[in-house]
Amino acid sequence: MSKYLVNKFMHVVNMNEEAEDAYVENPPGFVAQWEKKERLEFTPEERRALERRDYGSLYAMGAHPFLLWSFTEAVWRREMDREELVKDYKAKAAVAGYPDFET
Amino acid sequence: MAQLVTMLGITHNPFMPKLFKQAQQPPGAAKVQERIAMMRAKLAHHKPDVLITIGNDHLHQFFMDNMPAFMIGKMDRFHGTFYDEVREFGLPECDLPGDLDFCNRLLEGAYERGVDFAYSSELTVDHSIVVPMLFVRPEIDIPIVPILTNCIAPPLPTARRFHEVGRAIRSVIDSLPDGKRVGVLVSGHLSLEVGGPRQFERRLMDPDFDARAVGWIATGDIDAAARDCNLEQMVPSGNMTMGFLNFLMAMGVANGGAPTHAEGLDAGFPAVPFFAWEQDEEGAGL
Repeated sequence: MSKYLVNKFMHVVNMNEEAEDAYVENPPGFVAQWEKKERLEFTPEERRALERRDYGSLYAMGAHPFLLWSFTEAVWRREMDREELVKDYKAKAAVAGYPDFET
Repeated sequence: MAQLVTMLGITHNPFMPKLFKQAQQPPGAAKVQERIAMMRAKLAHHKPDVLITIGNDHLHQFFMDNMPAFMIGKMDRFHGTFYDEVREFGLPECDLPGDLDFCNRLLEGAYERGVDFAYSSELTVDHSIVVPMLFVRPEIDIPIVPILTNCIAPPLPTARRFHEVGRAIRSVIDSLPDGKRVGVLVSGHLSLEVGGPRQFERRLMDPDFDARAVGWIATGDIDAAARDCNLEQMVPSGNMTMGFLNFLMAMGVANGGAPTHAEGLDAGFPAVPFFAWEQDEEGAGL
């Protein structure tokens, strides 16, 4: 996977309120627009996971866990209760165990 | 001669400042706050003129497009913190005074001793500096010299390198001609998981690691620490346990000096580290 680009995407969305708003409003649209400006490319699997805000898949692919949690909190907090989100995130992470997150 | 008057090692748990302001607190919170007050009193007692603050950036200013192993901030004023930390942790944004002259001398002195720090003239510090400061010096009135480390984005510098960098910092402090009283404030953690299947559990993540780690600090045993503090052995103790490496840098700064306090507090959270090294009344011991 192009782990670097996935981590970069999460970094940008997590640290920038405008990007966070735009992504949450239209995830596939934001992903397409953002990727167009990059030299690197997502794999189809990565793109799909980002389009779906699918933290379980991103975790399993080796996205950086510290960043991934913060990103997940940012982009789901308006729709999911925090406790439920933590529970679901942990359950999905547990299935994958400890994938290598070397950057 | 500049002199190192005290060094404190403390948690940078970013949830704690907000937690401690809530009416309802978990059972162990009072114990943690009691220790924090003790550390605050130690710092006030030793009256440092400047504070070298050591912590690890959490993929904020550091990123994989240009990843330093160790960095010095070179500014007369630093901003703390970032949008996402205000959002997720409720941390306050703040300004921290910097000692630019000291930053420059530490950077140049480190180069002469074989440590090539990266440096930044536009540095925003995250919870690894802001939280310990809120805990032990909420007035934020002592000029800082921030040192940031990479404990989070593997490949990481080795445990031994963290220690060597600490020794180089100490050697520079000891060589500075002015009479500044230097304090060091180091943040990090013991076994900890964030973003993995065991995150946010109110228990010690790996009590065995915590006990060994506190033991290494208490006895200054860098050989044992270097043997066990690599990614392969630390991740099973909790996927972010590498934040302990900052305390090995502290051990290097202590340069063989024994701590006056070394503890991994069990208070219903992942272990909360409290370490202190202090000069005695005669100015000895550090």
